[in-house]
Amino acid sequence: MVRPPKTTDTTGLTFFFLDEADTVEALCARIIPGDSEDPGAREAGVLRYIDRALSGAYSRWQGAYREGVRTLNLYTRQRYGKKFFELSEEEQDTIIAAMERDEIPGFGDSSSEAFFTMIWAHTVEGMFSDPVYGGNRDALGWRMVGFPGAQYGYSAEEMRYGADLSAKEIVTLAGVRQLAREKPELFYHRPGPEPAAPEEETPGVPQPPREPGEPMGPGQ
Amino acid sequence: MPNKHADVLIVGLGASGAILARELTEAGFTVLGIDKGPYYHSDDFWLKFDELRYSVRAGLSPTMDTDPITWRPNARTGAQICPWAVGPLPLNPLWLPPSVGVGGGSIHWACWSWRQLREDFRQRTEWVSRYGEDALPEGSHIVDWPITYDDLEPHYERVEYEIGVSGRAGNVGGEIREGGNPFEAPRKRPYRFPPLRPSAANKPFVEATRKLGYHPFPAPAAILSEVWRERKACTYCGFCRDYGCHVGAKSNTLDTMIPPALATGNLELLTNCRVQRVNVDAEGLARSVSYVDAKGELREASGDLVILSAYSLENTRLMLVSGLNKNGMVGKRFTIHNYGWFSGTLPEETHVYAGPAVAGWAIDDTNADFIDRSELGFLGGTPIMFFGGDYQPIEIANNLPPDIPRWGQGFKDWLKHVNRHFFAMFSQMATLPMETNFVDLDPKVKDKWGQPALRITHDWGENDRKAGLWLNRIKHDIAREMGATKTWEAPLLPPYHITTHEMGTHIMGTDPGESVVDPFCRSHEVPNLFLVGGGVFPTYNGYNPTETIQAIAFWTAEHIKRETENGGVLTRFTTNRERLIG
Ligand SMILES: Cc1cc2nc3c(=O)[nH]c(=O)nc-3n(C[C@H](O)[C@H](O)[C@H](O)COP(=O)(O)OP(=O)(O)OC[C@H]3O[C@@H](n4cnc5c(N)ncnc54)[C@H](O)[C@@H]3O)c2cc1C
Ligand code: SF4
Repeated sequence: MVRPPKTTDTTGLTFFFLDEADTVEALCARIIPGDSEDPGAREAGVLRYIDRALSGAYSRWQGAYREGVRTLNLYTRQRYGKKFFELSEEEQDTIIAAMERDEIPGFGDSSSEAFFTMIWAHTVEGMFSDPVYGGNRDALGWRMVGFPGAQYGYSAEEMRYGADLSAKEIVTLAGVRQLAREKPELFYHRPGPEPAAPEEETPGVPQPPREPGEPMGPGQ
Repeated sequence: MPNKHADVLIVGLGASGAILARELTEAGFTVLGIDKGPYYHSDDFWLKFDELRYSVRAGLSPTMDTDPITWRPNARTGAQICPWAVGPLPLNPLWLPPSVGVGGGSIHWACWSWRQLREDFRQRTEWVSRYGEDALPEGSHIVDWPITYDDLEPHYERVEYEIGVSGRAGNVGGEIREGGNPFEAPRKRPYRFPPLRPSAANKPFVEATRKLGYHPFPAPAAILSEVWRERKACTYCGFCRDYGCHVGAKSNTLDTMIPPALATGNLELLTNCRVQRVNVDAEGLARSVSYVDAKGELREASGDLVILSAYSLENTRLMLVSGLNKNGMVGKRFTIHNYGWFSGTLPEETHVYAGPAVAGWAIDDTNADFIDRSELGFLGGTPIMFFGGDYQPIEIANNLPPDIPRWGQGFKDWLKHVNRHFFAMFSQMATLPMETNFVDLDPKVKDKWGQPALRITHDWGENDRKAGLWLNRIKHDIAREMGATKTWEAPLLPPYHITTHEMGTHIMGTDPGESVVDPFCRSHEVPNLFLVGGGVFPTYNGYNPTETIQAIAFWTAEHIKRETENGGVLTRFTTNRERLIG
């Protein structure tokens, strides 16, 4: 018989190797810094968002991350004898500033600025997208900026200039899903006939011609 | 399997194609509607409150993977796949082609729904009489439309009453109404529904513009402010532009036009089928279209009349791929909007995530020539529109003022502040139809199915720069009057060259040498082929185009119904018509 694990936490990794994860997380944490009092990207689990995105929707950027992190750590090892995430916050900031000015060599076809911009964009996404994507843990990102999330709607009073919405309870997609189950009458139901089913089942989208043996890719 | 045939083949059932589908099926025509995207069910949008999926990843838009478009600033430069639409940064559905699926762009649009001004139908006459022939820049092709506001007036009304538009009329039968747009052309009836509830920060915008002597009014919105049949009133959820609606309040053609068309029994939908070309027979008539079905098989379908309503750019690509460009006018007169984004912060909390964008008001004093352009040195006009709501945190973070740090504590502090106090306004300065701005087929880049990509050759010009400077001055005045604590602007000449407002490229006109379609959207070259959409606009103006595109779809449907009866000009193509009416 097998026994249940001590923990079912989900801080494992789907794409990054250990050092890569620490490097990316350190970068995210300098973009939106935080601590337990005033959480930032690290506390909100932005790394988990990026890691999951890279093994799914963003798989085409896997190479850019892998190469970029390698190049960055090569640079910091030469300069400081340490990997990026082992440096002090001040040292990390100095390096990020240099990346932004595109002064860090070795990024091949890309540039250190483009690499940083990519991580910057994905950090923002992980901070403020619905928690279902793996970041924005406990809606920390939304709490930080006062965004109430996936609200069904707002009242006239809530839309008054200067109204105080700080007591409004945040809703996530999980909450809307529950609402849709419990009260489908709150949502739209299109009346009238449905289109006839095609004579053969043809799900999906028009597919490009395939080379023999090539796997079926997403249509769009 | 034998080829499918119908009286009318419609390629693309979007904002305009679905109108033709309903009008013609109700008139007794059999219609085969082919769309490259899916048929969405209403519960597909119940969980749409997801900025990442629908805005950042443009969940309802075609992307450059399946629908590549290339761009170059001028004919001397090599083209590349639209650089603003590829890469690891967020996509913006406004810089992509608008739609994939039945309902097209009307599903996830922002719902600004305008009638054009009288003046917009006759720019040449207006500008020459005011500023003289010399004011028209060299290399421009500014013409009057072959149709007038009065031609379209009843059809605008049909859009507003049958699809559903909310607003406050400013001119009913020549009588100016308090609180509406005093500049609008006279309408027979007011809007179908009262205006939407304005968004929070709209109040200071209205006060400021009034104080400055302008005439603010609620922007006309294709959104229900009240319940209508099965569709509910807007709940002001604020996931509107880029999103489907969870309560059916957004007026799209999927909900308003397709169900009655299906109810006739005359509409067959072929979804997830991508049309690749129009096949013309020896007599020069459109006989069929070739399409790739959902399984990847190449098929053919035929119709007595063929209508292309696959969006201006795709209509144009289909024409060019099919070799239909005898007079060389297909692809010419390409015009787009410069949105002139202007952002700021206000002292009070603005809750800019609540309400649709179109719940902001607008001023039209800056449109057309209501302010004389003689001393300003540019042509054209635009309303200035307050962006009511519809801003979520990822978009706000990406709209960073140049003096705010992009990372670190300063960035974090900014995010906390800006999300609570943000506001935005924008304008829509149209480019002039210049000889140097056009689209054609890219000689190298192809889509996954081996079809050449469309190539855009477009750059902003002097007119766009001067207009932008003038508009920024006015926006600054308004922001100052609103009490803005900070403001910043998008670049005067933006980096994008797709705006979901692509007009021209198959323009209408009476001269078969100088236009692609006649005033009823019928091809000069192939007499049983129609091209519907913004592509027919010979010139562009300051308004979002869709209500006009839809009014023209109703107008074209009227024409087809009229001319297939009693010896009309289309009877010679419609072989089965008698049987079907009887
Ligand atoms: C985010 C966003 C906001 C917008 N906001 C506004 C607004 O506020 N006001 C406004 O007026 N306009 C707005 N627009 C623009 C508006 O969506 C378009 O003007 C309108 O949809 C154009 O109508 P159409 O019928 O020409 O084409 P579409 O509505 O784009 O329909 C084209 C149809 O053709 C299908 N199709 C395309 N190619 C093929 C092919 N090869 N084979 C088969 N089918 C094909 C598509 O799937 C689609 O259904 C917005 C657009 C976007 C994306
Ligand atoms: S803001 Fe209104 S119209 Fe727009 S999606 Fe939400 S409920 Fe629908």
